[in-house]
Amino acid sequence: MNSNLVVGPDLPRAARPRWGQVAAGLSVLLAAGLAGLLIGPAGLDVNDVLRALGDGLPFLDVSHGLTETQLDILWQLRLPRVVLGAIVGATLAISGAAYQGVFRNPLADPYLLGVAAGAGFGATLAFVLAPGAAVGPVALLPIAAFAGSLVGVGLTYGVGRTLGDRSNAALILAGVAVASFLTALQTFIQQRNTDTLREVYSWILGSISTLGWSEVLLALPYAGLAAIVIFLHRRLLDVLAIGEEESRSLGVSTGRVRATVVVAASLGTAAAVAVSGLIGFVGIIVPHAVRLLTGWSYRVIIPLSALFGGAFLVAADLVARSVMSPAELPIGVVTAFLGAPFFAVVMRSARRMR
Amino acid sequence: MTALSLRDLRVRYNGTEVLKGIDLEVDRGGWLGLVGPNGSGKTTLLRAVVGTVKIRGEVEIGGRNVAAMSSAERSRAIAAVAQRPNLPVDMTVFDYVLLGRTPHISYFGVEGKADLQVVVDVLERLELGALSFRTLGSLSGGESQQVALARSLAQRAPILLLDEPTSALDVGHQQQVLELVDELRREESLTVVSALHDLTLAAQYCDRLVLLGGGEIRAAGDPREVLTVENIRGLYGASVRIIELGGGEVAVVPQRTGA
Repeated sequence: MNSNLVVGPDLPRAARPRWGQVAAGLSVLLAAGLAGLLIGPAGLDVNDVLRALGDGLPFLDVSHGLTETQLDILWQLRLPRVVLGAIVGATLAISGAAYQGVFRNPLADPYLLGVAAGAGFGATLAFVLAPGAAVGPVALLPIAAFAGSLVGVGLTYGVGRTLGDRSNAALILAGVAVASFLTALQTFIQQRNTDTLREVYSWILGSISTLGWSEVLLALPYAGLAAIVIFLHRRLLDVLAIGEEESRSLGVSTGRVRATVVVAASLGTAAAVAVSGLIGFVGIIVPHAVRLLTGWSYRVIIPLSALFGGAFLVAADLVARSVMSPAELPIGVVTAFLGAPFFAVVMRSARRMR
Repeated sequence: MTALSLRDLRVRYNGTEVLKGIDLEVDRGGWLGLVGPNGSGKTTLLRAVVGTVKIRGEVEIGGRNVAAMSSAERSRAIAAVAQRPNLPVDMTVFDYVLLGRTPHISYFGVEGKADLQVVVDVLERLELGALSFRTLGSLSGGESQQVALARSLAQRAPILLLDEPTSALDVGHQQQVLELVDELRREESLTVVSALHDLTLAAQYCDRLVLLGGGEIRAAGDPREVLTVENIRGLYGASVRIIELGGGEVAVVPQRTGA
């Protein structure tokens, strides 16, 4: 028999991330995070920062050389910013990967599908109509953003279908149209409410500069839930790669899987948008870079996209606040600057994938 | 024993009835061939049995109505190879064949040792072990067809549906695939239902044929009874000769009408 497989205890394994890959992702994330803590107008010493972080852990008492002001900068400015950057980056990256799997479309991205614009529209409505409102203990903003994100992805999918063309580009064209439309609506509402204009404007361009622990707490439950749901569907996303009909012949309820994953990815996107505004291209850059390095399986792409997506956005934020210091670039400008050329490259290779 | 039975099976696409009340039974271990011109309903009939189109009427597998089965249960009973399987170019053969275990894995579950062992066994049986870690994009047409077959065998379902399994293959690979299916059918008493374009091959491999035309059964039975000059002219509009090859085999040979 012409086979190189060993039957017995050493079975080949199903796709999964290797420990080395996870370790690499964690290292990059930690390195980006540490850089984010150290670099800024007020220089902090690496030893002091590490000691102060250690001191912050429960039951640990470590002496460090930071002043009260420096401690405030570390704990109240830089650390929440780094943590939030990691959460938003990880969420956008796995949401992008999830949309790519569901739509079997390598160009799918929360930004390009109109999801982020929908979330922005929903959030702006909430901003303008009922600032600071809450439903019981839950802030209205992320819920409005979530509703808007579902409207965005629903419209894009619907418009894409009516184009009668199931190609990758058709869905993205629909997404661009929907995103423009929702952005126009949002701008209209914003202009009619000039008292909140500045606030909304800086938020829309994407910024994590003014944020603190309250935003971390706002985004974390939604982002965490979205990440868990997407992660649990990673094997089924691999099955969807063989198409609707063949997946169903394997007993997969494709409609249910798609709907669940789209809702989860939209929830994640909405949480990210609600705290940081529209940050494009993370969902396309990170999963594709991971895919290029590790292969096709979502079991590998999703966990590694979370790590590298977090690292990527923390690094992008560092660039955004460093290049024109003390002024800050919106972080969305940085990701678009890198992402748009990347998108062109993916589009070229996507033609091969079909 | 009846493995599969269809009663008054009807399928509509956009208001048009494309299967108009199909009744048929397939015995366990048998090989039923579906023949008929393009658009006669062969693929639709296979889809109806797999459960990827909405049907009216009844499909029973081993005496159980599929309406009472979960989709995973149904996929453990019926495996299908599509006419043109989607083969993601960068997926490996092993991972692709492993997808065949999907109906045996719970919604949030992952493959266990037993699933991996089944894939190893199937690849061994089809002598595809050497291809295990090749990507699907690097396979030849014949290899692709065998790998698609391997995925369906990994389902370990007693009924195997094949939609034109040989349409993209040269004569050597056609024979290789059909012989393989026949061996597996005997070894594991699989029940096979296949749509086949090539009437001579259909007559050679199937123990029964069903001739479809316009969504209805026009003839059914022993290949020699179904493949008559009149039936073929009537449905295909083709002029053919039926040549007895001895040993009960027949060949269907097209005959030029002009010149």
